[in-house]
Amino acid sequence: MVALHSSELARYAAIEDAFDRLKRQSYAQLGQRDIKYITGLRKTSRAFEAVGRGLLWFGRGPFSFGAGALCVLLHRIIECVEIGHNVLHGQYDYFPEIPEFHSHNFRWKAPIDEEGWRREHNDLHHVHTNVYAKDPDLTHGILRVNDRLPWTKYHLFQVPLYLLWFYPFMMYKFNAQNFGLNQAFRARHFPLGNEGYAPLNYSIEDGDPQRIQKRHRRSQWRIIAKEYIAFPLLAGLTGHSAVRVFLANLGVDMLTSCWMTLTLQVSHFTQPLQEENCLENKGKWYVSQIESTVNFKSPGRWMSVLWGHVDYQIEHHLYPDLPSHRYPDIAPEVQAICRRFDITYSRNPGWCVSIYRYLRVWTIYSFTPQMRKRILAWLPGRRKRLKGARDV
Amino acid sequence: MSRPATSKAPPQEFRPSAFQALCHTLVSPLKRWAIQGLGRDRLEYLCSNTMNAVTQRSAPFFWTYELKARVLRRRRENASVMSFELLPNQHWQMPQAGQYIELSFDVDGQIYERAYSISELTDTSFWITVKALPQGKISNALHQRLQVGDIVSLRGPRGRFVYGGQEAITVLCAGSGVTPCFALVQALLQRSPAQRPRIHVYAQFSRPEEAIFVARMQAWKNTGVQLNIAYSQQPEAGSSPVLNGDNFSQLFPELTASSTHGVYLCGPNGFQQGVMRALEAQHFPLRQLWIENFRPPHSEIHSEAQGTLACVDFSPYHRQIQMRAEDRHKTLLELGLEHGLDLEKGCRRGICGSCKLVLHAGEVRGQTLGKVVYLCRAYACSEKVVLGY
Repeated sequence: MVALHSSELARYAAIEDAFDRLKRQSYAQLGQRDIKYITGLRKTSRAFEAVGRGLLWFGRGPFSFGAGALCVLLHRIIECVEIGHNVLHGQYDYFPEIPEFHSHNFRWKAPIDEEGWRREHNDLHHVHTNVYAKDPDLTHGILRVNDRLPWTKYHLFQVPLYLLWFYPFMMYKFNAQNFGLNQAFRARHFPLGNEGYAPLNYSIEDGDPQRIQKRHRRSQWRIIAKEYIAFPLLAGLTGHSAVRVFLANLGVDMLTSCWMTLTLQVSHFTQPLQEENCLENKGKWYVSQIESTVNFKSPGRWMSVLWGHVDYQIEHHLYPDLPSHRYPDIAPEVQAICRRFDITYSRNPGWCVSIYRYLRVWTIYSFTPQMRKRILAWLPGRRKRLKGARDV
Repeated sequence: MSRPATSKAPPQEFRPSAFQALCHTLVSPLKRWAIQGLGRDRLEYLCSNTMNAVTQRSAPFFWTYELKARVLRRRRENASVMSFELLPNQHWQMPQAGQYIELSFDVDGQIYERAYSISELTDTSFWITVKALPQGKISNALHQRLQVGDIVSLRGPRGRFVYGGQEAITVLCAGSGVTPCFALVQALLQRSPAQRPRIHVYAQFSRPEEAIFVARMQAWKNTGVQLNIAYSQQPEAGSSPVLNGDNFSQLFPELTASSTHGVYLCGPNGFQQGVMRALEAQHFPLRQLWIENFRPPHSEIHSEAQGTLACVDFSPYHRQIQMRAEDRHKTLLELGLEHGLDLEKGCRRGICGSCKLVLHAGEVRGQTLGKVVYLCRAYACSEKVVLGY
């Protein structure tokens, strides 16, 4: 570990103090408003579900199909992203009135095991954000987003592989990452095995393969049984079209997967890589979180809800267990602190720009530096543009 | 497990209305069926994934985050002792014989918690045996008010007073201390004779009318258990002389310095101390001794002192950890991890919130927010601390 200079230490102490003060202020305000927000959102989500499933079940023709699917999609997105992701952070553990929204009681309306998610996402990703070989989300699955990670031939196809195959079913693949099953795949297929990929510091079900499989099956069956068996069957048995319901639910499931993963992933910078010892100094840790994340501009509060307030990813990474709907309120103060200490507060102009920038990084690191050099030599006109592009 | 017929005449206090009786007749088998047929594991999966206002209202016994139990039967053991059969919901983890539960009971609007040993185990339910003490507010309230069909909240099972796998055991119990020992021996007798240890039981009561489970213990003799029953105030009524320092070695010739017997001891303080002295006099290796203490209720002994040697109950992990002097300055997270609990943990600096648990009882100091405790930055500061979800 490199010792910090005293002036640096003083700066980090001041940063820590500023962010801690904001934290205390925000947490002191928690109360009925938060309970109202999450229970209200659950009601809204249920209303969308009722209308959507009703239209798909009893409606005829393309209009009711589209409208029904859209409503079910809104329900699934709200449940997966804004409710699920945030509740599992323990953002509503403070309120004894709503035990169903406590992180350990909560059951996700997604085919993802909650404990696996909490341990991988909360305990590792949020603590060691962008630390090489420590942040499992930086190299989620087989992803390569920096040159330090050993290259394999799989990375050549990472963009089409993820966009066309992984993303539409990503929710069904999270367990493999969270249970450590991807480690086994990489150990078998990658020449350098898991080098550069974060090891997991926990073992689910004591590593017993049978119990892990059971957990995996159970987390997926609750969604499969509902979306692909129960509702199509109900429609079929009552003389309506089971195929229509099945197809709509399949489409919605795929779109929800894409929506969730794209939103969560594109709001992270993949570089600069952070130092391993960030956690030793809380001020430095705060800075590392800001440097690792990027907000994006939302057209309105409603879209922020659909994005799970991940458009305020910086605030989320600073205070992961603060109820998400409070992020927009504290954003100006976070920006002010960043200005005061000359920390770059990054914000993309929109979700699509974020996605574009993120995919560009994926494309760049699909290749080794030598390959990129050769490709650039082959594309002389684009050389300057690509070289000047900021790695996001 | 075979259970004797319930007492012929219902206890005086038990007078359910016709409607209550009907409800009980209808609902009780359904609940038993759900637990037996589906199993608690599947029920938990089903209920936790379908938790909503409608399900919670329609069947609050199952659609709940709390461990609750329904009273299935009451049985009078003697004038002051009564047993209750409880059917716990899906949050129950099957106990080992000899363990105890902590029962919450509302008396005059205040919730009291008391520990009761499990006196008998069946596949789906268990029995607790409660002695009504003259000044016992809770025990008397349980006798009078806890009726068949009632729902109670509990915590557990807890305790390490369980069979340790020895080839031969000696069980010494007295008074109410018979309850965990009865369950322990009863469970061992369920095993095939080849897998069963040799068992020697000494049970002591003050008078025959104070005794419990005697008839059923007598039946153990048929299965090869060596049994001594003694009455301290009417020695002539018992089958065995009352234990004292002089006759200990005659009564228990097996308990010597080179003995490999496991000794299980439970009873009033005086009885336990007497046995301990006798064991020491025989140079019996005390690491082979299991003791169950009946401690005064935690809520009544409370200390404000910081760094108290608390008993920390990590409810979701079904573990209770008694802090030792060297644990005094450890955070709750360190305490749990050192005792092998697989607690969720992240930054260990109170930032990420991964280790948060909810405080259900007791007091902690350090980083908390409302009832939420950041285990990595918090310390126990009351005799008992209960943490849960």
